Amino acid sequence: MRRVLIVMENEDALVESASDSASLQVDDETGDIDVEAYGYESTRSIASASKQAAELPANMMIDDTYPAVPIGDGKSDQGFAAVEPSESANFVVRAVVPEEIAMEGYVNGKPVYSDIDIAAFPICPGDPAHGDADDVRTLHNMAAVHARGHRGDRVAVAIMDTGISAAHLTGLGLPNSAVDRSVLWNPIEMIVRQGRAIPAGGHPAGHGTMCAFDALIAAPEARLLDYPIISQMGGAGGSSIMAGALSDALKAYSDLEAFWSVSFGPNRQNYDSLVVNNSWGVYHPDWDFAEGHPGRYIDNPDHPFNQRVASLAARNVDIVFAAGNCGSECPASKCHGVVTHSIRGANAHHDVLTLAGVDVSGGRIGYSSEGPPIPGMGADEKPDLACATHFQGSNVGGFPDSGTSAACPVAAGCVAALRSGMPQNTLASSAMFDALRQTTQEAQAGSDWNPQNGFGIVDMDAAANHLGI
Amino acid sequence: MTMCKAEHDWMLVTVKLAANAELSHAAAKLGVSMENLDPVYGLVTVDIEHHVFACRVDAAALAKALPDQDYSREFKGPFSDSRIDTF
Repeated sequence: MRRVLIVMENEDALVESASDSASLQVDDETGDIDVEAYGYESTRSIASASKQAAELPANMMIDDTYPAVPIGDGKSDQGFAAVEPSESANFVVRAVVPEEIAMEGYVNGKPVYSDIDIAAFPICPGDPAHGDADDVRTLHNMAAVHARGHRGDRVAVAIMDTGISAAHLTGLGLPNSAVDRSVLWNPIEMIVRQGRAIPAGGHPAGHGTMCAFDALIAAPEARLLDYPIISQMGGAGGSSIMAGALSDALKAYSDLEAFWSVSFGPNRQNYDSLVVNNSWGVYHPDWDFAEGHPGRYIDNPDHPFNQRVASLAARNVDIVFAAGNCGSECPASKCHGVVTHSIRGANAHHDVLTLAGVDVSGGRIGYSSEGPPIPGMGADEKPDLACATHFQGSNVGGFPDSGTSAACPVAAGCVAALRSGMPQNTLASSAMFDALRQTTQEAQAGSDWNPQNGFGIVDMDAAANHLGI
Repeated sequence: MTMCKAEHDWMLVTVKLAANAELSHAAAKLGVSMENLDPVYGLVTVDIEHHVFACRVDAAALAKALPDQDYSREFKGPFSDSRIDTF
């Protein structure tokens, strides 16, 4: 059976149905609609009262829950008077018909029109922001966790990105101490090329600053480690060109682990836990070696970078990756239309938490990469979870905080806040991620993993309760 | 000492060395001179427990030193040094 629309000529039953629906009666006190006046009353049934309906085939059912809609004579230059129910020449009526009638396209010599399902368009690149940081806190149920004192204290969040502008964060009212300036890392080639190192937090405001801001939404007392693995250079027309190499990320991870081991954590004077945010990846397979090459990155757990990720995760460092921006509805241009298996490389690593993006109402973001991930990385269910993106946040460049790039640090902040109550020496990284997967509203309702949002939207309070903090 | 990338076609490889290895040890293992390793990149720890390190070696020099590049006992690679970008 198929839902369709048909056009009928003016008759009393249709006029009455349309008139009733046009004059809804609303209770002033409760706001409730008087359903009896909404065309549902059996005495006003189109199916039983309309002569035209009586002439329709027996296996065609008029939908009496849908009032007749006056459309006048169907001409574009008709005035409003022509669609007054009593004056309207024609009415649209909804019906359910067998497939063969729908396919034939006509019933009693009159056309049958499709009545397909429609949905709101998902948010796409370039769309305006939806909501703000307060809405993000609400979506992820952060208030109760913050009230219990879990705000990221003694947790470091490494932002592996384009560098952080501490001045920009301070301008947004965040504390000057948000960036740990004692941990300095620059790509050595940059030091050699420029002859100087850029201090932690001393970078221009850009993508990395957005990630920094978003991590602090859930973990306002966490401190940020600035790892500028991707260059941010001025482009034509004021745009930014961002580019990096996997070898830089490998070196940064190696140095991060070494620093973590010997100088600033864990259980030393500064930190008990480390969360690593990665809002980057490979947009297209052509960026990598060809499929089947033993040194390929995107589907090869033996690639040195993927080995490095496994090594760090084994030490209970929580590593969070963005799923990517190659969602099927409106992929980023750099995806060049490749939207399948678009969660690749370390972003699809078994040991990391992979984040899809949703809007602050929990709705689909059309550019958020969908699962399943690229085969070969040992994980069949990526993304793992979803967090908010495309909201008014850091205001870098006047743009929304967007991409799965923003969802990723929102999640990293959630993990950091939980870690302040459950440090990494007390809980394995895999157990922390399991707690987050098992406590989404979707998971609690019994839903399985799905390709868009994984196990669902992060619920910080439910995760904290699950962990007993 | 400093060499810019344009002079070399660097290849990302991994080598297994002693625990406190230096770049010169990688050069010896790969059978190339120090000039054929990227000193800017240096020696990067991949797997600290198994003493696996990454370095960038000149592709032509390595081919000359170790003609059999098919994942020999001396090194693994070349590995992709893919471009990455922010999401």
